[in-house]
Amino acid sequence: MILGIVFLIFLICLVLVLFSLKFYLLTDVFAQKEQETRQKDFFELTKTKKEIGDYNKKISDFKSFYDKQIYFGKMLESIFKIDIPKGVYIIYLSSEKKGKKIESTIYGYSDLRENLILFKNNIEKEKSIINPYFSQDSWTKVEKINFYLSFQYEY
Amino acid sequence: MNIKIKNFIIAIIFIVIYLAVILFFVWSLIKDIKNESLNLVMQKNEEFSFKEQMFFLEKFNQEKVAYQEIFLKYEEALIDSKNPIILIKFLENTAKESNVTLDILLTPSLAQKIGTDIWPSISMQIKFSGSFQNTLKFINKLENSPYFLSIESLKMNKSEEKVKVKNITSIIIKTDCLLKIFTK
Repeated sequence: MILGIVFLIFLICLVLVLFSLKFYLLTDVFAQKEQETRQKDFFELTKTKKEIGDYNKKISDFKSFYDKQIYFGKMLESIFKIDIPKGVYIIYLSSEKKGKKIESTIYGYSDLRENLILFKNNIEKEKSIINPYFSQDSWTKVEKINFYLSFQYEY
Repeated sequence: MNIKIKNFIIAIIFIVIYLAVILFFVWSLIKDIKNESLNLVMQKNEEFSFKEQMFFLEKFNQEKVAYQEIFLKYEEALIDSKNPIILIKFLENTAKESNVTLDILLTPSLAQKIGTDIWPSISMQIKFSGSFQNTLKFINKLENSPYFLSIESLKMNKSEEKVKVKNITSIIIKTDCLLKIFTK
């Protein structure tokens, strides 16, 4: 009987401890919920997230623009950096942007075939100039040659 | 015998009371505590993430002023297609600085988005002439301009005219250039 009552008291105490623990947790959860629903902060956060998204889009647009840019100035510098032998003259140059490359044609004059061969060899040494092609009739004459050259430029 | 039965009945009553207390109170309380603890952990995690985001938000807001100036410059780099006077003035000034003579041919057209382009664009044809060095200087300045523009094609012709600068005679190069101007 006494043992029974003691055990019952223990059980009641356990229930009370558990009750207090439950209420402690409930108040903590409630406090957390109140803190989280700070409307102003939440609104501010959403607004700024949108703003950051807009900025990120702009950065990606600007990057995309600069990635696609091809510089004709650099191409001209590369061409005129090539050692052009005496007697070889560039008369006309036409260039057009094609994707990530520049397609160009050059009309020129060479006094001698040897000088034109020298010019061809120098052009072929320039790495940024791809597929240089001299028209076949550029080689038919020994002197006073009007030549035509086409190539692609990529850097 | 009577005492034994009495004790047995009391024991049964106690067991029933214990079971009732355990089932109705202890068990349900443990279940509630378990749920609330999980809730609390979840909320703590959410709050941590929220606080972290708020920290970055404050940091972003502090540094935003510096970024805004840069972005404003980029936005100004897109030309107003209805009023390209800023760009025309820029071209004229750049030509003057580079010592080339410039002609601008602006064909009236609506700004259009072409292919995979990000912004709509208009075309502008410009003709300029000067020594090779000055022509190159002008082209480089165009390509590094503060505006979003790109050269689409270039035609360079050697003319018969010559110019003498500081006792050096240079051949005049006549250039036709097609520009793509990105607009707002």
